[in-house]
Amino acid sequence: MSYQAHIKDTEYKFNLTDSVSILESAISQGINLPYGCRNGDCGGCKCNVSSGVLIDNDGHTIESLTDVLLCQSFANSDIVLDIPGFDNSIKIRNYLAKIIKLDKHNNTAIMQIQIPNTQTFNHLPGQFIEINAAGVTRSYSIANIANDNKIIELHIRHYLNGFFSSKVWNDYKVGSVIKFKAPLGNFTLQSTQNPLLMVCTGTGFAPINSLLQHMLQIGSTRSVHLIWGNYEEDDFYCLDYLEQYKKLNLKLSLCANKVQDATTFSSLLVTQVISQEYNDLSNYEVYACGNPNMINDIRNLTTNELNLNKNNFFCDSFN
Amino acid sequence: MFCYQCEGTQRNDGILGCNTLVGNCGKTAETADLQDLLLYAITGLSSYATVANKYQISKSDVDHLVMEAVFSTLTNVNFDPKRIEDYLRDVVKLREELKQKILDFASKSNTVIDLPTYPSVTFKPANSIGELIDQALEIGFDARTLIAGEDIAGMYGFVLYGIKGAAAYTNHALLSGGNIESAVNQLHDALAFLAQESTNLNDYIDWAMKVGAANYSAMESLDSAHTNKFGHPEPTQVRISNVAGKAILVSGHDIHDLEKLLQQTVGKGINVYTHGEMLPANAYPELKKYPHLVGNFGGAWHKQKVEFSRFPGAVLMTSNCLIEPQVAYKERLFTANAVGWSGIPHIKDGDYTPLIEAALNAPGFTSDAPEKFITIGFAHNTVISLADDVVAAVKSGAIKHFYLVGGCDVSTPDGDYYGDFARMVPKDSVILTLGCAKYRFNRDDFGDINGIPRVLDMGQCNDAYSAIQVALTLAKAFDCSVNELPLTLVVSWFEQKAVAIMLTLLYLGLENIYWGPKLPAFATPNILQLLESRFKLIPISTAEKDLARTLH
Repeated sequence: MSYQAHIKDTEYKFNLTDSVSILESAISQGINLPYGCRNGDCGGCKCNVSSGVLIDNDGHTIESLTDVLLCQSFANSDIVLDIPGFDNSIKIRNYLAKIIKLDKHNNTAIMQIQIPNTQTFNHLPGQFIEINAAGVTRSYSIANIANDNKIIELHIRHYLNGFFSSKVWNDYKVGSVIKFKAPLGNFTLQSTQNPLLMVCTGTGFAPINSLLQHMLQIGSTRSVHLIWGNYEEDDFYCLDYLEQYKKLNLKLSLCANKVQDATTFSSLLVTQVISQEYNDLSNYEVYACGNPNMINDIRNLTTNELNLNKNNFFCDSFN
Repeated sequence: MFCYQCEGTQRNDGILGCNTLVGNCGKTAETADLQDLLLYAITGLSSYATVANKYQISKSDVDHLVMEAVFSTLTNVNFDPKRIEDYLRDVVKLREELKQKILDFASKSNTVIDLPTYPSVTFKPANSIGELIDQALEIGFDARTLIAGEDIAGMYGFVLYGIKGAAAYTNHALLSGGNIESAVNQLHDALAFLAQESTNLNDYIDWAMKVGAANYSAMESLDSAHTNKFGHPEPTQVRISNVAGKAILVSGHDIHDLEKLLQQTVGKGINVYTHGEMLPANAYPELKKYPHLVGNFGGAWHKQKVEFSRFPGAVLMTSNCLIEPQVAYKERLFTANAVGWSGIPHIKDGDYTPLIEAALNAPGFTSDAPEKFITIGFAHNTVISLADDVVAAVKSGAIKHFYLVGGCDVSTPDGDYYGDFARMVPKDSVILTLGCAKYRFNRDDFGDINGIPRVLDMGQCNDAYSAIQVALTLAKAFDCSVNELPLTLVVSWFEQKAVAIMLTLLYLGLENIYWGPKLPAFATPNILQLLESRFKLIPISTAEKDLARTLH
């Protein structure tokens, strides 16, 4: 059966079937809904549905239309999605790009790719790209602001047997050409003056770096506390990038499980840092990026225990 | 999508080329990507065609499909993604059939044949449009720019666009019954060269010249086809004001369509008008004999939105240049041959019945407008027959200079340059013109020199062939090279037929050609430098400055 989705208070509509998830239908029709893992893990695609009938993977009716995982939901009628501030002005499309820089810092590669002069590239800070290598897709956050020079920086952690990271480590070199879809995701900075708590683990620093660059660019005076966690001190990379953010109203906490340099690093977990330093986040916005477990822990901690408005919790979950 | 094949391409934001959802011509990104993929597949098919040609294995079906399919990718020809997809699948099907023919021949004749191994030879199109578009990304100009650089991509474009123009002329010649064998085999060779994705700039320069040669063959074939079938054009007064009655307007270049339509409208009470590049058809004896070919309506292609809206009858677009049909006339617009637009009826197999019915259902002109005429029909046969008078006029000093002012008209005021230039030409000079750029000045009265009209309309853009024959004849009469003649070429380009003609002129060694209005976006600074240094090509500036330069 075919249905239609309408995004409330906008002109955007897209077609649905009962056999393709609402999220996949949107993406295939160029509707840039927020999402992360597409597997039901990260919660990045959660949204409220104002009206309509939804079913899950097993064909059962979904009773609650609040916080619906669109990647796991299918339409059983026309539906209306409630996504405040939805912006589809930047179109998602495929690009080719050439690797122009490939530096490796321990287990993290800093890869810069450049799209040809024949193309323009627009994205919002915090968004990601989806690389297609031999038919397999992998998502990586844009770690910089690429709109002007068409150079996109990606931070890629090496995983043993990781499909794409192995290619980066073993096959790709400067000059290699890759294909990707972009821009994706809605992990973007809200236009408020609320203080910011930014929490990331591993290469979750990438979109956070993009957000911080954006704040520098616009001369933001918002207070921001960046909490960045890694397993070991050596896992930190691009620490020199942080120098520039001294111009911001920035507080920095670097957390590692194994700490030797206690003057620079804390041995606390990122959640422990939050618990130790905050008792009320009611006027904050929280941006979390990294592994799904960390994100769930922070979501629970901040919204359940520290009074964070759940609408002010933004995340980008890495699988 | 990335497309920079025409003069009207996007030129801002630091990017030369259309790269958004819709190109400046109205072509969607989907159609543009499919056209890239089609051309890629054609390079594979042509690679086999070159082998088949070497062993004289029949391939006329391949020749016909390749010429029409390449033509469909020319600017303002086919906007219909379904038609482009159909061409693509036909090309791959014929490629496999031709490969089998070659293998069968090798087997039967006990011949060892090396088959080409370029990637496009084994390309398999995906099943869905979405997947096809994905495939297009990896073989298009973005990929070429990233891998080989902007200069190589630009020269690839130069060669490819020249091939497009030459294929269009070859297709016109084919439809008019011409012998296309030489041109089509040269074009297969050029397409097979593109399949190699060379990264050597000199290779592209060499092949650009070969495409110029191929286009000369194509224009020669077309000229022969037209003159054999319709007779040599003769000086003709063409009515440019409407006549009362039902009406059909025929635009584009394919004169054979006009002939068929004239045959099918005999006794129907319908007047047939030419439009745009079809104007020169009025000068062919075999077409002039139809009394219901009453004249020409309108001007150059880019005015069609207004002119078709005002035309109270049916309209046929036989070739480029189609632009987005408007509500006012889309119900009475028809396409033929390689032309297409989704939802616009397409004439197949030369049966114009639907078009004729649409004309009969339309109001037609209710009254005669006051008579107005222009004079056309000065193709090579007529002009060369005047050669003695012309030579005498030059020797006596009555004619001091010849200018060829013509080519494709553009849709912007930049094209005013050509009208301004023509009007500024001194009274002791003769202007040869062709293509639709002439509409910038062809209603003006330029007078004559000793009975020789000062403006000689040689015909369609492909009648550049006529201009070349006249130049060669004059050079022979004056015992000099063409470059030593008091002749200046001032050429306007818009689409790829003009690229092909430019390559022909360069191949023939003509120098100091003024070219505009805007230079091609695919001509990078390095390519431009090459064109200016090696071929002495001159970008136009202002009519005053350029004219003064020619007079020194």
